[in-house]
Amino acid sequence: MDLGDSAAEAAFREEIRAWMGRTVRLLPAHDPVDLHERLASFRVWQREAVRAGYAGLSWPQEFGGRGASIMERAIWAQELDRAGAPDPVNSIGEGFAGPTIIEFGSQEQKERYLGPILRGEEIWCQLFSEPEAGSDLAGLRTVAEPVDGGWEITGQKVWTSRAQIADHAILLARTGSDRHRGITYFLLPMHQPGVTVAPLRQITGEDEFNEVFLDRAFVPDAARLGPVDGGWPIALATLQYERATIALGRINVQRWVDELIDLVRAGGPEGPGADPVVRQRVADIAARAAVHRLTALRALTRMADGAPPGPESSVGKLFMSPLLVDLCDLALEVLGVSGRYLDDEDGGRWQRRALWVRGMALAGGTPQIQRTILAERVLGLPR
Amino acid sequence: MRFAFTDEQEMLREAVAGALARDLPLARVREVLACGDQTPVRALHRAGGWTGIGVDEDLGGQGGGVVEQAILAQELGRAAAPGSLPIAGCLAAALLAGGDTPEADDVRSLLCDGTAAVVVAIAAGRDAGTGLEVRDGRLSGEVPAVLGAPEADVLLAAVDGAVYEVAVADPGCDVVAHAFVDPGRTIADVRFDVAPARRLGAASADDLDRLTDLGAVLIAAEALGAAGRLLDLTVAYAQQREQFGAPIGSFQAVKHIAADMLVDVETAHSAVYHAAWAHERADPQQAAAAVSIAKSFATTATARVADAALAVHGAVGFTWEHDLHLFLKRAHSATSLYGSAGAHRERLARSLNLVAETSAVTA
Repeated sequence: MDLGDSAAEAAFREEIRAWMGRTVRLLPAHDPVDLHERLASFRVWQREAVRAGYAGLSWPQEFGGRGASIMERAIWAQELDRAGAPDPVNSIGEGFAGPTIIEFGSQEQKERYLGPILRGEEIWCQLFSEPEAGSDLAGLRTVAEPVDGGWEITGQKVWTSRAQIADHAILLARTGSDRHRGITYFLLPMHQPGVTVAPLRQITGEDEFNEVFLDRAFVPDAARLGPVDGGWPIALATLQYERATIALGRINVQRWVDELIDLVRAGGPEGPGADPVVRQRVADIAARAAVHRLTALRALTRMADGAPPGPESSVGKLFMSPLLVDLCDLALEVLGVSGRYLDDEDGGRWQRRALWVRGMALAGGTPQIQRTILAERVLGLPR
Repeated sequence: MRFAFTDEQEMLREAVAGALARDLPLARVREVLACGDQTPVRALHRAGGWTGIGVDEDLGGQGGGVVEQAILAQELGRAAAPGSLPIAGCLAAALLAGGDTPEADDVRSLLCDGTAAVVVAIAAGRDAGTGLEVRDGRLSGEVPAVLGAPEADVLLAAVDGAVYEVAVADPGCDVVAHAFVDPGRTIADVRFDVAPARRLGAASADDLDRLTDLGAVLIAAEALGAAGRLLDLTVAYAQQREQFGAPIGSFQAVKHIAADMLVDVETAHSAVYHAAWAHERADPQQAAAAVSIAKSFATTATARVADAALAVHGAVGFTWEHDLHLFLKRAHSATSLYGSAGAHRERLARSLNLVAETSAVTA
């Protein structure tokens, strides 16, 4: 048990902290709201990351990556948060699609796809979920029909993040009737007439999610990943990469806590920082944010040891959602009515966050579903 | 960065848990509480070598540090083990760590082999007392709310950077015990009235805050153990108790309470062991923040677990006969010892410099 950095970890942290500090200065102070503007910021960031050798941190070195360990990735994520790095808009490309192609792709596929992901040139989205296939992914109905030279895909996908800026998609489609052994994994080019992206506007006013309609969209057979009807195990591997990415993900907790503290401090000696009630609440939030990070570190330590996830890895989301809500609500309270002004720089940012965290609480299973799962699967209470 | 017990720490945990399960089941705990004789519990501590945990082996201890002491405290909490000496002894060992005189070695060896109950006269409550003073080798002053004092053979006092020893049997030493809500804990107001005091050597720290912080970490660890046991009791009860023709654990209302208990126990674990590690290894400012996080967050969470356990058990959990209250009282009373949640949040807030201009002056 050593919660501090080892000498090598400390050196890595120092190195990337310096690099990130320089690189964020090339970007706007706060990440833009508009997805296309965020993409522009991300591309600047990624260009610098390639130059410095940090792109594809977790990828093996032979594919242009750095072969970083779990703890190095965790340090990277912490420092991204600290530095205020731009939204990693190609997290699906770098975090899910790339590692899956490295594991299951042909030599030609690796040569075709990996470089552009690494360089941030091609953005990826994930076409897995369907209206009738969410938690029960194997119930998917989108079909792939064999045609000359490839496949034609027809069906509907939903909750697809960033489809409107994606160049490619990892796609699951039905090629046989067997639930699990009738699914094939494709790498779909998004820019074609058979693909229609319909943004879903969220209560934040943004439309990061989309519905994607596929009407005889064409995939060359060269872009089929793995064997026909053999997509299910590959999909499970992608979901593993997804979970690792989320576990390591930039959750912004510490940065938001720091911003809240700055906000309170900005009021000066007569400001909210002098109010004992506010002081108690800020301290409570700072404490819970630290506890969240520490609990994540326990889960990462297990992951680094190759051990199966323990109970600490399943409590993270239930703990984080109310923490983020309380954090944003306190910031809004400190700001007063201007917190509700979308045209106020601080207000607009915190208000959007306050709405966004309420949606995040629902994503990947509502808190009530999460509690039921914990009670049944971890504590063993009867169904 | 690694946040997991080492193999040695896991072995220690298993050894302590195993010995307590075998030799101190709840029926035995109740016998000890009823007759008030702690002798068998102290024998168990001696036999396991637990009295020397946190003291270097070349000084006659068992080695280990605050994390190992927290492991012991957690398992004692899980067992609702009676007696406050284990935690009080850890504080005594920490205070003696600065002294390398023969007198300090002498007391340390009595402490480590468990032949004497050594307790530091330090307040576990908000009131620090009148302040102690030594004149002509005699100690005077009052310290209220000293955890473990009713069990002590020897009291240690830190005065002007030195450690003094007073025999409790001396007429100049008055120990007035309180009836504490948790029958397994002992606490007393201590008064020294020109009591003969032997100087043992230099105190380990220039202020007693670090000692109070160690108490806070270990009390939080003990509460964590009690909360973990309450979660186990609650899950077992919810599986077995039937109402409306089904085990109550099949109802979502009960499942959701149990899931929230798990969240509280797991996150409290993170806070407690972070603080234990930081108290020993991090710089003083980081260590103090870690302790305040643990004492404010973890003891609040574990007290919440106790209430949730009572809610699931219903009226049977409110009876004296049921074991639940032994753990509930340990978890609840932990919030009052070595700094309340509010006091620790205020200390954390001060370290965050929420009022940038003035904090440098007032801190």
